[in-house]
Amino acid sequence: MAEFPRQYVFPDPLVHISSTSINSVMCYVNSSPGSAVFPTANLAIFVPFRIGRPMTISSLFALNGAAVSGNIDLGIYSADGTKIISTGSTAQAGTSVMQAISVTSTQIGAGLFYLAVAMDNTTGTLIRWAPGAAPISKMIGLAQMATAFPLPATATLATVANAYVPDIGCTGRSVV
Amino acid sequence: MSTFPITVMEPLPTIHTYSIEAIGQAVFNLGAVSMANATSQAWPTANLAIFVPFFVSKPITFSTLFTYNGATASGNIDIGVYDSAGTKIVSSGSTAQAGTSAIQTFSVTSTQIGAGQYYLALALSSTLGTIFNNPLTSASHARSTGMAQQATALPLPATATFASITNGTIPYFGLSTRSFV
Repeated sequence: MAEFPRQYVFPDPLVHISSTSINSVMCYVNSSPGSAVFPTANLAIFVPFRIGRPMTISSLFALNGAAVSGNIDLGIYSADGTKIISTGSTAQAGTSVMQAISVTSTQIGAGLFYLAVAMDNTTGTLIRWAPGAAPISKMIGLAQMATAFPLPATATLATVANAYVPDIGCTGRSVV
Repeated sequence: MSTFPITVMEPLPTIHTYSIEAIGQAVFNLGAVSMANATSQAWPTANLAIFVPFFVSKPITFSTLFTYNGATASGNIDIGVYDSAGTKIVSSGSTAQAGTSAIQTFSVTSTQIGAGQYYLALALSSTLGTIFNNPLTSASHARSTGMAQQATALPLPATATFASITNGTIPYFGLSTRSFV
């Protein structure tokens, strides 16, 4: 019997998907991350990622920087800007550590998505990459939305204004 | 017994010269070259076209191409997409280079390309015009990635005649499947 036609398949997602994953953007940039204040209060930053097989998400996480303040909201959006899941407004807690926040267990299918983060102040910090200048953040596919805290049900994606690629991610493993 | 079809993966919203779909992985392996270390470089030869191969594993539709212009804008740019045989699929046409140290976007006719291998193509009319890029240590390294060039190719020709690349620079340009970059 003839074999079904095959097409290229990207590698399966590892346990975690984050900005550093081969599934996302930072594999292109190869620079060192550091702690920096969130660029604008209530701004949402969207980091694209893609998976070739369905994945169940049960936690979202951010790598906090040297100072925490106010609240953070983490989420996952579909490619058209529809929110799939989010943590809701949560006090940012824990300096220089990963902050993992549980969400309702949600399966996302193969395809293109966005990791999203918004903060309500510019005192709190995240670990981020500053890849040269804002144009590179644009080239690798980031997007943003102003006045987007808490994360809206529908995002209106716009071109980014900052060279700020946050270290954020998601996982389905109980141990983050 | 037949094999089940395998789900393919969407490209990210942008495909650019450093994408995994293009030559990004090869470039990183050629000497710790990071997108973050881009520098503004003059276009090597007036009217030279540089072709950078990329693939997509499923159809995509785009209407925006872009360059990351360097510190000086001069002359005209033509940016486009070719199929693997060197046939031009779409291009911006000769357009004044505008904006320094910034992304310049070029609107093209909404175009769908199927799964397969293609080339991103870029030509500048002047060696005064600059594009951000990363220099490799040699043109041979650039050749090993599958890049190609054609002299006297602005505006971009309907059919490319690929020649071996003679410069070791990787310019920053690409396409976006969104209306913005």
